Amino acid sequence: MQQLIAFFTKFGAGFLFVFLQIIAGVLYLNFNGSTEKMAFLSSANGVLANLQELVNKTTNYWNLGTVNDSLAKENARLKMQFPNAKYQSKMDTIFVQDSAFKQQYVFTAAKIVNNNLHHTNNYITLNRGSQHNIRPNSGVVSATSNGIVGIVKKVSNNYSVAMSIFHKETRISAKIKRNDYFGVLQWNGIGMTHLDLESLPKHASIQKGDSIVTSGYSNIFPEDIFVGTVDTFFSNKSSSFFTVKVRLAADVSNMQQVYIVTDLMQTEKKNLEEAAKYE
Amino acid sequence: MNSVYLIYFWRFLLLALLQVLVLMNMPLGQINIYIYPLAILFLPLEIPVMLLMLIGFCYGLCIDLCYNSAGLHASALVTLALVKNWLAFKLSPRADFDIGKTINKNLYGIVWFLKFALIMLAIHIVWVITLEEFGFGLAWLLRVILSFVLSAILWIIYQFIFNPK
Repeated sequence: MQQLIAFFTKFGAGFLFVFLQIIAGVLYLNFNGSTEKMAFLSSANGVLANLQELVNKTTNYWNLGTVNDSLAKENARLKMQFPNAKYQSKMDTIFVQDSAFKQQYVFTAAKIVNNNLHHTNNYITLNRGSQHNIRPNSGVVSATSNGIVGIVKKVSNNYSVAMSIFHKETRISAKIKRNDYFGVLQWNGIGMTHLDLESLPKHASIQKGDSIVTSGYSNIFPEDIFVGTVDTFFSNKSSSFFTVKVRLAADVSNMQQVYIVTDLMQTEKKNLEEAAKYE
Repeated sequence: MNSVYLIYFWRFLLLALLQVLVLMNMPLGQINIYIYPLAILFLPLEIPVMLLMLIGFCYGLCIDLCYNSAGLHASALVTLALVKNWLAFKLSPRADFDIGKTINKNLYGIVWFLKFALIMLAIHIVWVITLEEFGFGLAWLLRVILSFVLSAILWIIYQFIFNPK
């Protein structure tokens, strides 16, 4: 017996060590990994659960940065799901098939994605580009109402930028629908409701309310697209031309849907005209 | 005597709370900072090793409850308890300790304490991380080194806060 006690006092620590390690090992192997077993000895128990909740409440700030980042990412991902974040690659091109006529103008539905009206030279960005066969010098007309919007100047793969009709350099050939006298539409830089029809010969008969339509001479717009109506007209004594104030039919400032009008024969006509000039 | 044990109790509680309320929730991924083994280290040297192992086992289980790692820290603390007195005597310049003395940096100086504490810390961290990883590898090595460095810094800071003399 004395020997046994002596044995234990000598090696007891070792035995206890092995014993406790075995218990710990059994616990470790049994209560880790499988969730249903963990319930016995884990933070899922009442007091510890409350403690853990307190822990989470008090130490949430450790993770605030990460949480913020992940929320921002999630937000961006969700925002990308909105229809307005998506680029409409589906083409809404309207072709008029007629065996008697060859197609000259192609209408491509487009959306205004940027529209500036606060400068003297204003531009409009549209969500159609060269991959939709949009070319510079295409006309832009309103899709929902009658009216012209601008002229495409630059084209990238997905987008095109058009000179607005409210651009000091924009010149659009237009005529009076009733008698075909034609002039040049331009913007005088003031207001968004009127354009000036210049270079209209003085002998032309004009009345207030006359319809002004595009002439088709420049091959940017097809003929007979409605622009607006005559509001007032006047001329200087020295001048042989009228200046006609044209009240615009379309309001560009709140426009969203437009058609881009591409003239398939524009180059041919231009080349011919250039050639004729130097004959 | 009573008040001494009360101090040990409060130290156990403080270190355990510090561990599970703050350090456990540090966003350090797989790297762990351990402060709670200090409570075992600072127990008086006259406590017999078997009692020390039982204390360590129970204390470790409490930590395990919060870590959801039943047995892991208990096992590590039992090991620490076994090694503690032996290592302290091995490193000490004298053959015996005064009754009631506890290990801190003022006992034999900061160098002695650091030698002792860092060996204990290394044992603890290698034990815990080896059990967690169940093998050795690059991840194991990185975890051991980083955990060791961060914990060591904390242990030294703790020493200078609570044993300032």
